[in-house]
Amino acid sequence: MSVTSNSGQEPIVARTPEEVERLGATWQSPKGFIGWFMPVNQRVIGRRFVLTAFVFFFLAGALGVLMRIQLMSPENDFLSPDLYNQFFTVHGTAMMFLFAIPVMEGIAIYVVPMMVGARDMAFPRLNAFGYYVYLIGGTVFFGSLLLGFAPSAGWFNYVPLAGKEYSPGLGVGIWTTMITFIEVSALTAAVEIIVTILKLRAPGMTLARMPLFVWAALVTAFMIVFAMPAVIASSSMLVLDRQVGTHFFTPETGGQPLLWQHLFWFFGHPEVYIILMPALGIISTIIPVFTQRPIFGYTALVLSLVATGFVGFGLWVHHMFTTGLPQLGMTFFMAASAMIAIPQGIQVFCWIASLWGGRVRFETPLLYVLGFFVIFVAGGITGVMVAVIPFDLQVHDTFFLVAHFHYVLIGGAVFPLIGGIYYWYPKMFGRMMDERLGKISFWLAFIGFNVTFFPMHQLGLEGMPRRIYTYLGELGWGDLNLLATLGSLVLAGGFLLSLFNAVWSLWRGEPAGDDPWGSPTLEWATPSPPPNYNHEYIPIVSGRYPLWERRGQASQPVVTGLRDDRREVLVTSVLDAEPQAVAVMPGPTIWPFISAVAASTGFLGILYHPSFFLVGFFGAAATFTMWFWPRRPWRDD
Amino acid sequence: MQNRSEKIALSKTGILAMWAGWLFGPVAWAAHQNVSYGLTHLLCGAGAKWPFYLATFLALAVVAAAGYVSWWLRQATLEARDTGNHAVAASRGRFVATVGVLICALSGTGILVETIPVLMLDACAGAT
Ligand code: HEM
Ligand SMILES: [Cu+2]
Repeated sequence: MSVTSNSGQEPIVARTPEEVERLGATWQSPKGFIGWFMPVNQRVIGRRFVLTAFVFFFLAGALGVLMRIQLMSPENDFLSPDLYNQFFTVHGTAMMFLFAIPVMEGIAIYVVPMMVGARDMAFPRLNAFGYYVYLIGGTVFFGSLLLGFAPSAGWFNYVPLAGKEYSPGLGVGIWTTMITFIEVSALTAAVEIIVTILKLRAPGMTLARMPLFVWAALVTAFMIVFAMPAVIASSSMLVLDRQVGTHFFTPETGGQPLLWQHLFWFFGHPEVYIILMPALGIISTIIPVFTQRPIFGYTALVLSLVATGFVGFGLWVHHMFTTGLPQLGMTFFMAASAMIAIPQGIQVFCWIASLWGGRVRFETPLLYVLGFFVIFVAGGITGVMVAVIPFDLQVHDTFFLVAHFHYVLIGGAVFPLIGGIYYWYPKMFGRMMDERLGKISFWLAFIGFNVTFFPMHQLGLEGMPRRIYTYLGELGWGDLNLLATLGSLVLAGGFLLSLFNAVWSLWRGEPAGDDPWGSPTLEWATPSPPPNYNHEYIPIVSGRYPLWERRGQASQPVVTGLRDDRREVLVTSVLDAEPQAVAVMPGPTIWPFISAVAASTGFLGILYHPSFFLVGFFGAAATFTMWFWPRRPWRDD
Repeated sequence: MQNRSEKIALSKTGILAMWAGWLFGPVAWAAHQNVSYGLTHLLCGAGAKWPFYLATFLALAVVAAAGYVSWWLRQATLEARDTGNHAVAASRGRFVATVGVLICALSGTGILVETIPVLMLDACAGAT
């Protein structure tokens, strides 16, 4: 391996066509039915994560619309109370766990390695394992709704409501299992992302030159690593309480219901930032492209990401302001909750400064980012409002909260996400999405969103509680609820139009070319869609905007000498990305899939009988052995 | 020719110290928050508030120290900037140290803001 700076457009040691073909074959994913279960390449896994997450998004979104139809008029009997409970539980849980986290991880898995100039993630098979675990968990969770025993105690499953006494049956058990699955999947992805970013960056991409999306993915991954253990602990304790008869949360026998809330929210609040953080990275990626100049305040933006990552862990008690904790104790968390507005504010001002006075191209990705500004700022303001204890005591568990968190989650995460999909779609599929449909879908979603959720602030202030399946006509909430329901149909129309656009453009979209937007980051240095090995030569980086710096230059410094006949990646140092070694990556295999099946059998079996734990344990151990069985790293043709 | 501060900034300890602001700033703030939260239970009834102020003072001292180290290293890397073969390390170091200083500033603000309610509220207020 050598680090070469060559002159001329073509690398000095250009590969012959046979060599290129061999490189492609080395990194190829198997075909056929069995082959479907074997790929380990990061782009395949990332794409699957994103597509699966969107399937769950549309299913959970449909539940949201059904709930809105039920609430459309007073004393409606479209849904039974029990079904309504199942719907809001499945909707909330699926949106948070099956859609928002995995979709963000999927995008990071897809984009980050290409952005840092690597050929794959650090642990490709683990990556595949995480995906199958997620797929099985999500499918079983939605399956429980079809079979009529879905959980119905809400997405935060407060005990004692979620305990055996008030929630008999399989529902909560399925919830805890699904949570465990998602934790496993999220943790594998987080570990992958951290190691990939720290060790597989292209030479020269020092920490100070990492693209902001990569910074965001790194902070997100660290947050997952620190937040997930809390919910692993709490959901395991809940399972033990329910299946084995321990007493962690049952007060009659010395347990502590508040312990559940502490553990859950120590995870649950950072979770919101885990969802938000990659979206912030997407925004910082999109803005420079559509203004064609470097982002304003790179250092300040990194600071805000890192600071948000830290402070996000100090807010959890603001979900517990009505539980009767001592006032002085709660004020510390009120202070921290208000503080988090500082880094968020810094980001917004940096973005505004980046847009200011530039020649802005108002294309769909940027439109979604601008929509984010409006909605997220409103959500941030109501966030600071509910962080203030006396105000929270008034609106707690009313529709004001439902309005607030949908402003943050949809405005803060879903809008930038869809912008990001429009932005990266040409790279993923080699075709552009339709601009006109994109703009219409944006306006439908933007208007529909505000018509749906803005009235809920008012409903909340008028006292309409959340999680009720109906209300009396005399209360006068009917008109605003009708308005919200009509809005939700428009909103759904906007999202469906984007879905249609994505499917239609697969065949009919304009061919994209390598770099249709004129972007500065390395993923656009590959063909669209990229070949199996991403970058033919690992690029060498000398600034924050590699592709812009190369414009008009005849020479492109690259790394040469990685072998074609086995999956090799370049390992670099953590701080300054100086080349250190070459690592050989494992190839496709079916064992991650079989391991995921074995682990799932164990976890789901526990609901039936605790002894299934052993089945899962030994099954996973056996399949892991096969997975790690040493094999020759190069291809035999 | 390397001067002394430049050497320190590029040494192993120097590189580790560069992260002081990132690590100790937020840790001091988190410790302050959680210690204060714990103290409210203990001090209700005791009528003493000085442990809160002590915690604040200690946390601020840690933040200030970490911030100062980051600041000092930042200046050192400024001097190291022009030394050709260390230019990359120096610019990355300056970046890490700068963010460290800013994180400390934010953490310090957090600690101060969290101390305001101690001035105004009784430790027993609202305890059930
Ligand atoms: C199509 C767009 C959406 C609509 C129409 C919608 C509608 C609703 C409705 C009607 C509720 C129940 C309110 C109640 O009775 O308490 C709800 C709850 C909730 N939604 Fe959404 N929602 C949408 C999108 C989202 C998204 C994208 C997320 C997260 C990423 C999300 C997260 C939640 C959560 C966490 C709850 C609380 C569930 C609970 O109380 O257990 N929603 N939503
Ligand atoms: Cu929160």
